[in-house]
Amino acid sequence: MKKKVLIMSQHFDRSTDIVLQWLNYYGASYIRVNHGDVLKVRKINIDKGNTEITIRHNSVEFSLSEITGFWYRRGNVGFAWDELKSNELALERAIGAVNKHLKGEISTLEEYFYFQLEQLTTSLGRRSNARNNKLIHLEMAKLCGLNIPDTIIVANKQDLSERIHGRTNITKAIRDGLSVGIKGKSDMWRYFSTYTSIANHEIIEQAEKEFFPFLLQQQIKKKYEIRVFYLNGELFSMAIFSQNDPQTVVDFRHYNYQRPNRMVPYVIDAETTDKIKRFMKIANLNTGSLDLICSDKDELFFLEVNPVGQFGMVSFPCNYYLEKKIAEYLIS
Amino acid sequence: MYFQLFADCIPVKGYNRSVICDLGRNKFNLIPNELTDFIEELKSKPFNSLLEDFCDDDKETILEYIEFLVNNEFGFFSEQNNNNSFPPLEAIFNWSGLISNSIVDVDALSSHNYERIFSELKEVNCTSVQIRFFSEQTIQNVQFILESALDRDFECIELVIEFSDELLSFFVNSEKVYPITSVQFFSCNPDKISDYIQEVNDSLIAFSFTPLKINNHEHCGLVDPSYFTSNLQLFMEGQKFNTCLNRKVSISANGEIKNCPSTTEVYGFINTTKLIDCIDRDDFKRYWTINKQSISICKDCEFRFVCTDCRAFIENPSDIYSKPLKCNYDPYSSTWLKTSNFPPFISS
Repeated sequence: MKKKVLIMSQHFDRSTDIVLQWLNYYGASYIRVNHGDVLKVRKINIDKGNTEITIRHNSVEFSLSEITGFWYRRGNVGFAWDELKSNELALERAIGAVNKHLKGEISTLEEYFYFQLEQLTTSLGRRSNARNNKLIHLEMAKLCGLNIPDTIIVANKQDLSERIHGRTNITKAIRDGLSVGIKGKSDMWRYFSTYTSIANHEIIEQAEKEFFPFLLQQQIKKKYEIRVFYLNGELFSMAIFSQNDPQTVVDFRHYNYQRPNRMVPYVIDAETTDKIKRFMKIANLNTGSLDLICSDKDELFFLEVNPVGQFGMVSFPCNYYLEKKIAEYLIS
Repeated sequence: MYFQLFADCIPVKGYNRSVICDLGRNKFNLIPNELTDFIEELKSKPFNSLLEDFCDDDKETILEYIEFLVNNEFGFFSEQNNNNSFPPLEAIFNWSGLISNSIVDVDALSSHNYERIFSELKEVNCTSVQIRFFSEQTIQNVQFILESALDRDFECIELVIEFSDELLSFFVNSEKVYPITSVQFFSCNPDKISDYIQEVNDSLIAFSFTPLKINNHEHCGLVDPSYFTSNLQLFMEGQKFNTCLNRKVSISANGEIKNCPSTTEVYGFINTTKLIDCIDRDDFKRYWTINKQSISICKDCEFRFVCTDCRAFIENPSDIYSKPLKCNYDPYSSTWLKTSNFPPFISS
């Protein structure tokens, strides 16, 4: 059977582009669905003999039985449908309830559609797992015997000052970081992004008695950071020497373009590798980008995993050709 | 204490001296061969014990070397031998297509079907296209050609074209319309080059200028330090392949399909032969695997992995493994013999 891969992604995702070039190279065909594309259910057939799902993507129809491999890269593509509308005020609530009902119907179809795709023997990534919960992942990592930094969510001044007293902490978003653009004078956009930053005594002074909960984590004195791309049981790791540069000490994403951090291939010891594999299994992830730190005492700490994270920044500097490996997996 | 280089800093030993290729920061530095040897020994022996083997005078020199390596962040110290955790970069080069780069020549007599050329290039996954105009061009004609290249997702489109003020402002104004990566202007008034460079300062396109007239394919194959590039892909490709001709295809002004525009072998004509059929032939790839290690003199040169090659203009035309003709460097005396007859482009 000719290989045909379905890929859920976004426009301008460079990593997807390169994987597709490799699929081309290997003579496999593919359907790339980007965030924002119109996907509609045509027919779903569940009977004793076989299951058939027919989908329309933009203007092209395809059947799930043609698909031999699936890659959920990122993005959130659901099925398109038209909401009911009414101008009559009296019907507003009823229409709202019907729309909610229809939305539920559609999301059940979506769930089933993705469920079927994830049943394929070569299926990489899961839409239902795209959203990482850092706290659950920390628990799972702990369970697998990985070192994790002490982590606390604080919501009042007393806990905050107790925690900050006598030790260095960092703070970062509980979920994803935020990036907002503000239009300033002469239509120039300025962007403000959250990064991992140091939380010290200064924030106690500014704090009110109670406040919106946020995350504090013990700062690990690091020798280097480690970024791992996990692909179906294999680890491709890279060490980032961000420690020597004051600009990148706390968060290497404050890139220094003049003197970029050294990023080199790294091999994680066998014991930690096993723990990471176990962790990925428990977290139900067969791909993802993991962040670790090597402490000044040569201990590896697990920080977080991003199921839909960037891996081009591991692939190129380390000459790993991860995009090629992904393509090979998808048609295996 | 152990010292090791970062995997992206790779010393390349030449006859007299070495070049350390910094592939993470795209630069390179000259270092003495003794230092390269010393670094090699440091892979297996602790720094302190190795230092003991030297007399006091040499120790001083070695410490200076190490300071140089540390200051440039070429390497790092660690308590244990870390070779297992920090492996070298794997020396592999892969390309997701038959062709990676191409040259299309155009002169006054050319009758190219650009739609066909670009779609066939796309078919073999060629991502970079250089178009060289050997005759004076109207804006309309250039525009027509660029239109055919639109929407084909070429990653890199490079133009080599005779200078005119109109073309310069056309390119500056259309940088957002056409995906042009770079423009190399020839026949520039040498007194005005610095003005032009000022003018294109903010452009998304990389411009370069030369007073030379480039009206045929003889103006190629130049080896000059200003063309040296240190990057990971080129370095890895150069280990096994020819750094100019590997995965290259060219269409001459009269439509001949060649590996290189300046070599004599013709494999077909673009209007009648499918590009892919020419490239599939084994003889089309005859130069692809001639790497620097197999070329005489180059194999002893410390610059061999930051340099491009040329197989069209070589010192001894009857020996395909002889050194590029337009290279004036002698690795045995570490000197550039004379000033080049082919001054390079001046870049913005």
